[in-house]
Amino acid sequence: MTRAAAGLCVALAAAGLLRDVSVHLWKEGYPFQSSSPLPRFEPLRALLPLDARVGYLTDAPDELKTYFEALYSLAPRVVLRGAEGLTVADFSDARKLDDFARARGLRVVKRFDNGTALLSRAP
Amino acid sequence: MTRGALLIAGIALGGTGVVSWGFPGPARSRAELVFRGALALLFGMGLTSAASGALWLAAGISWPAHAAMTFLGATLLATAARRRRTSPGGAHASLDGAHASPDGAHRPPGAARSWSGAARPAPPELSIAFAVAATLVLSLFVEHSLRYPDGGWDALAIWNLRARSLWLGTPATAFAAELALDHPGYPLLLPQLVADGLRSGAGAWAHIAPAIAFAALCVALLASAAAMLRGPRTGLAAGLALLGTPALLQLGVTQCADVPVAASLLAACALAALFTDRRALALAGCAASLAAWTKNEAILHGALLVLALLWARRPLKPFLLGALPVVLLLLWFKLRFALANDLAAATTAAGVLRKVADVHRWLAIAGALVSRVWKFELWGLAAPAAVLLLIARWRAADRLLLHALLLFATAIVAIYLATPLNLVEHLGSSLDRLLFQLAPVVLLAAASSVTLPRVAQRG
Repeated sequence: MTRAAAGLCVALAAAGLLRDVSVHLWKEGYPFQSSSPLPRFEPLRALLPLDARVGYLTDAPDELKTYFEALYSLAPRVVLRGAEGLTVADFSDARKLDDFARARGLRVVKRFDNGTALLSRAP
Repeated sequence: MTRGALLIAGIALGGTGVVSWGFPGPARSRAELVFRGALALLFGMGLTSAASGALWLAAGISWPAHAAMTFLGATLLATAARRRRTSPGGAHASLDGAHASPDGAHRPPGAARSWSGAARPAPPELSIAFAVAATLVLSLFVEHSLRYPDGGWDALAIWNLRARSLWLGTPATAFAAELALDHPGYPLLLPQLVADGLRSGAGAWAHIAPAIAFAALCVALLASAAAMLRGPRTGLAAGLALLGTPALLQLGVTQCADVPVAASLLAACALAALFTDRRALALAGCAASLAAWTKNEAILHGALLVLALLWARRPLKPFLLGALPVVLLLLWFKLRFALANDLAAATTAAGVLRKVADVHRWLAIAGALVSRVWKFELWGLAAPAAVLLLIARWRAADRLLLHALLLFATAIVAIYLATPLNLVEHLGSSLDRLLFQLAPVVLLAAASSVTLPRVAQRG
């Protein structure tokens, strides 16, 4: 490989590297924020045994995404979409929670500040 | 010894021990030293994860596997050291069958160790460019990983989800039939490695560190293998081309399993292409089996690498023996734990025949392949340039690498021809990742097609 060819390699690689820089240092923006779903479900992890089998309800428009975040954060607990005997509620608007639960015959067992709650079937 | 220290010892000693068994003699160049070091990390992580996964599936416990890997590695290292002491001349014997590099890379016993043995060293500008690029990519990797410590969608929905299930659950809950949505049939190399890290108390670094390590392995294996084949300039240029490929960073930071597959496939292909002795071929088989223990499609790639070896009239037995332990583990996992593969379950022979006969599917796949290869936001300029170089100079490229790539590419076309999913959606969601699995091998094949100046060939 000649020196000119090596120089060409550097120039070609630089284009991709500049793309990386533009995505990660410019488009992602600042201030720097760490984003993980784990803290949101921390109180529920403390409450539910590892072999629990729970349902999952949310008011989020992208239900599949938030469901997988709950599944990931609560693993190895089995989390199923829809209402079960015990159900994890994950609400962006906590005020809706009571009406939502009542309409589905569920009651609030425990409510947390971050919009999550544990529901069970009303007796 | 804490669990974390035992895990690190298992990876470090286990990997180094396996490589010392595979390469009993001293390295003949600095490039080969780097290659061996990268292999040691790959085999250390892969085999420790496989041993750990086997024990966890059998008994619900994993740390004794780390102790076993530590012991195995220490034993192999002690054996290699004893052999070198007792038979100084014999240390080189196993290397006699290795390919003679066209750049005269392999030094004679006792000669000073250069970067590749080539007469023309890499210019300092190229070394500096490589170092700057590696530092930049590593910095961006860490920065993005701290922003999104759980990785991208695939990591969250498949790999790290499974890792958390392996960490805190039992085989019954980790493979619950109700959770078929998260692909319980996928093999366990990456999730088990992450689970072991989580058990050791590494927190988010349990999934960030393997992601960085596998991406770094892709670069180190590629640069060192290319340097052994065609000298240090070509090695650095190949490594730089991969660092300048945005897909490396994009897929790496999402912590998906395609980067570990790419590293393992590259190791298997490089070992098979650069060395002819039986132990190196056994290591190639082992590396291919680690790729298969990472993702389902790599099972196909491993089988195709066997065909490529047949094509090149190379002995198969060492390759197959090297692959055997992890292949047996994979079979046991598939038969005992994994639910039916969702794609395979929805595929019928009649359906496949109908799809193969559909010219529109061929056109859609060809169109997607052509358009995706030139996608700047994924491949930048360096990788497409390497593809063009390989097409232009395919006659000069290493035959085994070329044949393996042809077979891998055919497999990709076959996967999409037969897919029971919506073809356009399936192409859109997975083609980039499948192409990335082959990208380091493409770059190595392109590097192998570079002709050295005559002076370098004389050494």
